[in-house]
Amino acid sequence: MKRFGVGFVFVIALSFIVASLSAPPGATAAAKTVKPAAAAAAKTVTIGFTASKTGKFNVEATRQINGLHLWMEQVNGAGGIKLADGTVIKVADKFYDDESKKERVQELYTKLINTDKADFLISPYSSGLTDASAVIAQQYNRIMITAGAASDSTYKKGYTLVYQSYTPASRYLTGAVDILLKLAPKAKKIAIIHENDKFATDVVKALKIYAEKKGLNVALFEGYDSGTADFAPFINKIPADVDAIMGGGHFADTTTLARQLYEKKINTKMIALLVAPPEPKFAELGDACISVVGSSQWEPLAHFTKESAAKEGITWFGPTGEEFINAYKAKYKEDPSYHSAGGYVAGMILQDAIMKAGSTDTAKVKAALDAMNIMTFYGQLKFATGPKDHGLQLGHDMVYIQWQKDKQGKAMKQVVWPLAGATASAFVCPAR
Amino acid sequence: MILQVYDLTKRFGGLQALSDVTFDLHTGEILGLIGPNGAGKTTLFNVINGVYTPERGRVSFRGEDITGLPSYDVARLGLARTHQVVRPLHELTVRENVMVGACYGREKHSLKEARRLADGSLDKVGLLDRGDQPSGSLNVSQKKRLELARALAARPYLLLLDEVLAGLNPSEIASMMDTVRAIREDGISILMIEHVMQAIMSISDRILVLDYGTLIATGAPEEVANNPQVIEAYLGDPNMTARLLAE
Amino acid sequence: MKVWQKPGFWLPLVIVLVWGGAVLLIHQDTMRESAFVLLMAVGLASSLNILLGYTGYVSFGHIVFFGLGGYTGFYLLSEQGWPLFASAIGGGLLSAFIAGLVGLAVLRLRGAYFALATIGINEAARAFVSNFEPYGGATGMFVNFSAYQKYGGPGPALWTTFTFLWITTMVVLVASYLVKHSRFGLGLLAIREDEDAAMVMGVKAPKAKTITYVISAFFPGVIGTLYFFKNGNIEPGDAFQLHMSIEMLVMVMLGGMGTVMGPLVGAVGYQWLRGYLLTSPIFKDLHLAVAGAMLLVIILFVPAGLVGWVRNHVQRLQKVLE
Ligand SMILES: Nc1ncnc2c1ncn2[C@@H]1O[C@H](COP(=O)(O)OP(=O)(O)OP(=O)(O)O)[C@@H](O)[C@H]1O
Ligand SMILES: [Mg+2]
Repeated sequence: MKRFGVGFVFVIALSFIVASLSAPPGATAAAKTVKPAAAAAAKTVTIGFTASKTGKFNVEATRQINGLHLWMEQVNGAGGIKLADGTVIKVADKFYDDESKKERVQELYTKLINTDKADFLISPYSSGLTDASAVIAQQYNRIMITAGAASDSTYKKGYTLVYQSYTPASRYLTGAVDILLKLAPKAKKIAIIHENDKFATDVVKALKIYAEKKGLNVALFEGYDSGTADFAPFINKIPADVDAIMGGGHFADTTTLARQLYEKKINTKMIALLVAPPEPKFAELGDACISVVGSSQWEPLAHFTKESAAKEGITWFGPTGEEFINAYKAKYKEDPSYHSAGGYVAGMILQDAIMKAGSTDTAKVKAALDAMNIMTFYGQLKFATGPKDHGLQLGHDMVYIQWQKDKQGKAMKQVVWPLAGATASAFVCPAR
Repeated sequence: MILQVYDLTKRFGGLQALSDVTFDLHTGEILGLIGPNGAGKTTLFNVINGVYTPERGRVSFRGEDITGLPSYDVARLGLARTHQVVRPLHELTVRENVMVGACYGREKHSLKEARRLADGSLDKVGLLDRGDQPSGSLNVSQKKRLELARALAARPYLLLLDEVLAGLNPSEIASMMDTVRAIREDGISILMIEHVMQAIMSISDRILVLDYGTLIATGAPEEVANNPQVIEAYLGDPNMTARLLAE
Repeated sequence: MKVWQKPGFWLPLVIVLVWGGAVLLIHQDTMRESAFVLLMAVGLASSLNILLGYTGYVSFGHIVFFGLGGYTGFYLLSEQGWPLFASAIGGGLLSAFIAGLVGLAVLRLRGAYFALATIGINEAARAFVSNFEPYGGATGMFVNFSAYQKYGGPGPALWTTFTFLWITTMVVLVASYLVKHSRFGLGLLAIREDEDAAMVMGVKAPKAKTITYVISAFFPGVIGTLYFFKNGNIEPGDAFQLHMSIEMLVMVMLGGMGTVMGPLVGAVGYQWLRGYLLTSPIFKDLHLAVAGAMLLVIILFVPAGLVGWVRNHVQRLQKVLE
């Protein structure tokens, strides 16, 4: 039995090494600490966070950090944040790898605050890790801007210093109901099939409540285990006359679900799924992707402009979408994803709040955050300030895309909702 | 009567390892068990002490039916055994090995008493000076004696000895024989398997002969040695025949 | 000689006592956080060692008791309003109870079969909890930030949690020593070396193994409650992570299985190293590779673990490092 154990640890050790060698090179290359150019009268604030440089969140977290670093570079390159009293604030960062695991998140944030003297915090990627770090932020009276932490529950625990830049999970797919009712005002029945994990469950629970409020009947509400590859048992349960199928979970399972819905020739007016549709790789489904609707925190195509802000009477802040995309492409040689935009916007939120507060004092910046209502290339930003859900994102909305065919018959994404930012109008799922 | 075995039958798949074995063992007796290789001697031990469950038959020990009882319950009733292929608890010291016997045997001693008792057993088999050594580091003959010491520390009523003399040189055999006699003097009944004919013939009160799982002869050593069926059974094993006849 | 006069007993205990005491006295938050991670590892590794080290049964999915106990403790605390200490004990008892239920069945299996079965239990528990509404189903549960107010605010609450963990770790070490040096423990060691021979000598292996399984499941349940309370939330994904199970095994083997000191040394060594590499400016991009390489070296050249190696090579230390 002992020999069995030793052999086993041997395998573990090897797999550590392999895991670290196979980590994407971008992860380390992009992780270099950005140092502000030394400026005589400048005050420097340190932004602390953990990044999932290894582990399952590596890709998303790396993009998020790339976005944040782009923002830092631009702020420092422009000479820093200039306050009303003439002080110039430069930004520096300090971060550690959390390995996409919760175990050390609290330890690392405590170190960031106490040893590295971080003035402001950005959350790790994902709601789970953010929950652990938020306890620490609140305890040490540090403001934390979250990115990639969509779960509503984080903001319902009574924290007063945690601010969300993403649209919360409860509004992740509700727009799909609005689209459906616009496309087919007589729609009555929908089916929801979702991954049985925290994120997807949070999303569809809220979706169900919203759909029922809008007079729809949720005829099927089923969860599948993470990693499911055969959806036949779920698809077979879908009533023949449903007007829409909604749900999904993460990329792999959702893509498979979309394909099997197509292969089984399920006819319905609309299919709206989580996470996978906005990804460019979703196009590999071919005809199966056509007409599928998905939601995204941000899309390069989405049109939030100074003009649309003015029309709604909201102040504009920061670069235009084009400026952001071009700068990001120039620096990282790839298209920004919504994770990248999320990281960048987390920085912008701090920047705007510090400017308005005219100070880096926590209480003053907090007041500015509570009062914030701005429009950016990423959308509107405004936080709940009540005691029950303080810090929850209220202003920002998901952007809904639909896969359509262009003139050559090639699949392409179009923004179909909100109508203000739409690049094409949505259409009903063709018969299969 | 300390042990009564009635109609014991054990099969391994298609192999009939024991068929209808019946015999008694008197209190205070040394009963020898001989037979060619693969005759089923060790299997008989395993069925008696609960390592295997028989297909049919009954084993009763001191008047109590122990058929099918798990081996640890049999041990606690006062039936100890040694293994033909030694099984020391490698990483434990020699003393600790023996203490296991004392702690979990018939008298269920506490650790402290077990330590005292273990030293007594080790002394009996001549291993006392090796008490602190890991048992894995003993040589074969010492490991055999450790098996015996462990069984003795359990303070059994009945001891099953499976080829304790195999692999020992003549002087070691002589000293082991003395040990076995001394054990009997202490009032412990003994059932022993042995291939060393001279020894088993001289030490046993009675002898059982097993062949292909069947008991073919029972009786005093001389009777058995002259039994034509026994001689024939051993014909397959020329060495054994020679030794039997040399008797 | 009384038990507290034996260095093998008090040495690990004094180390943890002084260490935790120092952290409490110095009262520095960064230090507390690091010590929390390390002490938790020591507690978990030592609990596992009671089964793994003494009976030789490789429980691959031992984290299930951390998860189930943590869930139950968390539930008692957040939904039923129990105090932290009682909740932690409740979590531990639930884990112990589950171990008692499944123990008899899975402990019949040996070697890799047992290891695989324990993974199965872990996955089954995860699936169950993901669909168990009182425990929040797939979304889990959280404590409101104000729950910490009961303990004088979040800062003092974290200190209280640390103190409980510190005490729990010492209790695990005491239990580990007492089990090993009891009559019961001798039977376990016999099972580890040769289960069939042990039974022939009278060791009631099924019962002894189940009791050991129960003991080694209790403490992870307590520790799980403390950990998840400190984190403020619990979800199936965090509670039943196989990699934590694997790390527990690695720590036990690094330090030396079957010794009281081994898991302490292994856990502190492993977690300290990981923590150091994670935050070191030189290694922070290479931490996994470096940790893996060191593990390999130790497994290849010191298979008995660090404490095991010292025991085998320095006679005089055998009584000191139990
Ligand atoms: N566990 C088992 N499974 C299958 N067959 C077995 C088992 N144990 C023993 N046997 C077979 O039963 C027969 C009797 O074996 P046993 O070990 O009892 O013989 P033995 O009389 O002790 O022989 P030896 O003198 O060589 O020790 C042999 O053919 C052996 O191969
Ligand atoms: Mg034999």
